[in-house]
Amino acid sequence: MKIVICVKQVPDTATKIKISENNKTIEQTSIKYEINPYDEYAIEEALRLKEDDPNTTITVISLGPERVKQSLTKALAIGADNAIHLKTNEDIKNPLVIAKILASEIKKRSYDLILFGKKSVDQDNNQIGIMIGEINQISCISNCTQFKLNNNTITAHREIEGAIQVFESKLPIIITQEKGKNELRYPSLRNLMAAKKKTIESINIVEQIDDNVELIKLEYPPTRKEGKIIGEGKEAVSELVRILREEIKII
Amino acid sequence: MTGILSVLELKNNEVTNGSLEILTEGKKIATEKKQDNNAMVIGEINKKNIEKLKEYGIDSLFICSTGNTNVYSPEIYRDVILRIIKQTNPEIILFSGTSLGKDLAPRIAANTEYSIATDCIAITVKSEGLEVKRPIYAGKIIETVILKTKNPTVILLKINSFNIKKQSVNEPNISIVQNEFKENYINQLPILKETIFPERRTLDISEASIIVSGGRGMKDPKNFIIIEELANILNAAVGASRAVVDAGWRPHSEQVGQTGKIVSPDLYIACGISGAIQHQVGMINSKCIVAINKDKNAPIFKFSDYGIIGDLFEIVPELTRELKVKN
Repeated sequence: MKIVICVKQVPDTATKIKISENNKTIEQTSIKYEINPYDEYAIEEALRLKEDDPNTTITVISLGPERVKQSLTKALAIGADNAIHLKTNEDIKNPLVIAKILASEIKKRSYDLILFGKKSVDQDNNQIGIMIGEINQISCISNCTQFKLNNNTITAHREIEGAIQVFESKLPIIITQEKGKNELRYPSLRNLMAAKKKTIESINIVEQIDDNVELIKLEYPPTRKEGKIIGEGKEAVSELVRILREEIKII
Repeated sequence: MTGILSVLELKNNEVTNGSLEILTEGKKIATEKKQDNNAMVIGEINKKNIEKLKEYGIDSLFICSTGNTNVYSPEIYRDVILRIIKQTNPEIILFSGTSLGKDLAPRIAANTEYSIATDCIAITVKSEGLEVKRPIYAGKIIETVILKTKNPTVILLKINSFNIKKQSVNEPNISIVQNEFKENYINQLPILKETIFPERRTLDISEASIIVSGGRGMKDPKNFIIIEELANILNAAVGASRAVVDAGWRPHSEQVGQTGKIVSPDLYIACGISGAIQHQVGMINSKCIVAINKDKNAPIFKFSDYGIIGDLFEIVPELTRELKVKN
């Protein structure tokens, strides 16, 4: 079984994002980069499949500037077998451009299972894995909390509003991973040191200019003003109920 | 290329509110650009709902069958939408940002090479194209981009971010589009085997107008009973912070925050939640936020409308009691 996971490096979710003076980019200093959390869930699913079937090989691919190598190294340290770096000068933003680059790389080797996080927590697009399915004509089941393999058949649980859709399909398949129940693993220092010695295949990507979409500006959302402390303890409850009923009229 | 095409969604045989939001926005754009405002719906739609749609200024309505398939299939839905696109050549395609819209829109954009923008919260017609605003970094930043007119666009509207506005009743031009798919084509597609609903049917946080959330301050999964009781009396959904979901106390479907759901209900009651940025971005757009926390320095009080400091194990049941008495 050949599995590939496309991982994106994103600012850690606890990072405060600062807009640069040009209002078009974000400040790079002070950002701690991590593997996109949903991609980590996808890696975890792959590692579990490998535990069940040692013949599995796991490849991780990341598109982006030099710094994304750190994330590939981390993926190798927790158990991926190969890593491919599709090297660009900076982050590419256009989803269809990203999808085409990754699709052509994925097409080179015949993978059975192609995994993505359901979205990256920086651009929040929810698109890449699904688009690659269309480009490479491989079915994609999006937003899956879990899946099971049985020989050449996959059963995947896709989360929708208030329910789970259970899909069944033949391989190869693309899955975009929602947060599941699996706990993530972290690399030991020893594995991290060993991973740093592994080779990461590097491929230079010629960046295409997309002028169909133009960034105008970045801004912070309007701030909420600090509210009112109604009081302390359960004595304050009746005042809260009165406000919600009579002033805000929500309940 | 001309005209707007809204892809409508049905849930339990009813046109969804998200669909009415995109229709309202579609009508607004169509009027400004002096173009047709068209819409399509996949599946069986009853008379009552067709009547309802007449109040949204639709010029042409395409009612499409899925032929010999009767459950959701991304590929079949994609094929049906692509057929209508081929027929109408729209400049702008609108989807509602639901799980269905998010599954279909990228498929359409990849096949048509249209530009695409997800989770838009505002759309303005400009001479160069459509200017859209969308939250990125889970809402820590708002991005403004122009989708240039030279390339047609697919736009997903973030749900609950746009108004619904009726127009005077008009008679759209209705086309019934029958589709038939070959057996050997259908057989090689993934199939939807079943849809599993939770044992107790609960409101989903992405759709609820009131959410009662619990965090680490709940101390034990069993204690969520007081959150559930309060939610019950308010007809609210139960939400949770990442900490309690990661601890396995609550399902991920209830998680509010950057790696959970981004919600904007009328009322959000946060119980025992400190208000880390991860959580904050998931609920900051709620219309009214109430925080109950024993730590008077908890960050949550900085962006809540109303706060009560104290022991949630006393305050939450008291709130439930008070609401029961006065209901």
